[in-house]
Amino acid sequence: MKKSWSVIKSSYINALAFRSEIVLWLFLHVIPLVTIFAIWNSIYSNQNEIRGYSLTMILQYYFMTSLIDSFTSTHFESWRVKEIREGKIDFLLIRPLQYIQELFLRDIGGKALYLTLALPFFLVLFVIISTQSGLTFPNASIFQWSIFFGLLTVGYIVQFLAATIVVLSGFWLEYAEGGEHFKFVLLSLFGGWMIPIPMMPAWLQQIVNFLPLKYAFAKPIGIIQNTDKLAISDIVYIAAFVFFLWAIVQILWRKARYQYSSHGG
Amino acid sequence: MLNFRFKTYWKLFWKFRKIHLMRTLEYRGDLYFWSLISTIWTLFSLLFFDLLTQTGSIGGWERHEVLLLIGVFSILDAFTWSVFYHNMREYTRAVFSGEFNQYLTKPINTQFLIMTQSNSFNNFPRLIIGGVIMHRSLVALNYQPSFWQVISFLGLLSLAGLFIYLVWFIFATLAFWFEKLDNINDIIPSLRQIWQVPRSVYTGVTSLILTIILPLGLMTSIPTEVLLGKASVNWIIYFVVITFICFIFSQIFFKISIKKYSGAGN
Repeated sequence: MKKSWSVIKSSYINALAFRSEIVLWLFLHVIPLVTIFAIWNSIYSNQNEIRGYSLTMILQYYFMTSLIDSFTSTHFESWRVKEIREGKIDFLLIRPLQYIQELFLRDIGGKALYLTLALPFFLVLFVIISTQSGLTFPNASIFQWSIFFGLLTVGYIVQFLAATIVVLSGFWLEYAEGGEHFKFVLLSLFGGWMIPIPMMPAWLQQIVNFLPLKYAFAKPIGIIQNTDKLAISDIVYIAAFVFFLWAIVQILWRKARYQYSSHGG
Repeated sequence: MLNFRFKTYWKLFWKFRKIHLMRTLEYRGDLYFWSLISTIWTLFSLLFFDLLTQTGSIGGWERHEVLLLIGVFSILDAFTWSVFYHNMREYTRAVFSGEFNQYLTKPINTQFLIMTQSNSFNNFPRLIIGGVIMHRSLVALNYQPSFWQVISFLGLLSLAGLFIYLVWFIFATLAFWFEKLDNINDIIPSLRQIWQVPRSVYTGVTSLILTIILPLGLMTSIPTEVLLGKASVNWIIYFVVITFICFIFSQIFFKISIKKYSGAGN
């Protein structure tokens, strides 16, 4: 526990050195929101409801996708794959922490700093946008918010495991970092980040409802907007999916260790 | 003398392209893989707007007009990623690492060197997809632009490319002022969504900021409007004037900024 805490702490401190970059990223988060809000405002200018969604609900939906993305997204794939390709992880292999544990704890440390800066930022942004548009705070119970944050935690674990699979594939594949783009496209399309499920065409809805990626964005937002519920079957499906990803990570890691070679040091 | 200078620059420009083509062909797997990624992103964006336009018109633009704009955006975006991104990254890297001396001491124009030294061929499929989307949208609209509309469209699209370059160059030049800001080159790519939609979606304060003060919202809208024959002359004039002002400002800002540079003895 002490070891884990010290890794998280050191990662947090390292991330502090790049605080100006984090602040810049946060400001750049505003642009897609402004654009998407402008698009939906214009679409709703001559209609009050589209497939069960009012303008307020749709603005909430996209604000929430941005917030969820801040909580759950991972962006370590590119530089971690580069590290592996260049044979620069020797020192990580001889530490008393497993490589994957180290990945996780370092990401947690960086994420902690990001959220420290992002949460007040989103709060201010929410106040500003709500005075300029029809955005309101979702009317959800504490129980619904608890499920929402529970799903966010699962969402982070799923994204972390998916990112780890991308990193571990770097032991074999030359362009493994490109997997980050595939991960993002799949999550956006099948997770409900791009557009709410009821607004998708029937063929896409069928795919999204079959796949577990909807638990990343569409499901948590649906719960706090009172348009969806979490059933026992959902929990079983989520647990099975997380276990599936975890098993892949373990299998890949066992084989990956023997693929690695470096010189000097 | 002027002719001689032009020939030198012309030769240099193609020399750089030749070097980069050779380098690209050396790593063909890399070319195929990143071309696939950029194609996926383009199709993803197309699907998004295809789904959106099924729910209603966007800023008064009907489905195929919006898709035409997406085609124009894909072409402009493919061009900016292919040419500007790599050069700007190299420019800011050189400033941060103190290697900018290498640019300053060469017997050619520094800005020419910065902007032509590198490029990427990965976005070539996007250019083709953009062209195909444009063609299909015009066919669906049953609209045939005149010769002069096509010429004006190409001129304004080039002007949009120039404007994006100038704004990006101004942001990248901030590297002289800030000690360490690695994601300075991600500012403009993050703003791309602004010109991915018709300018009419922006209203009130956002319209004032994104179509007048920093008119990034006009980049694809104005050329597309010209192609559709519904452009306003006032907006075209404004677009040309603001690009010229931006050009003058970027030159002055670069000259001032360069005085702040101190190399790292190499």
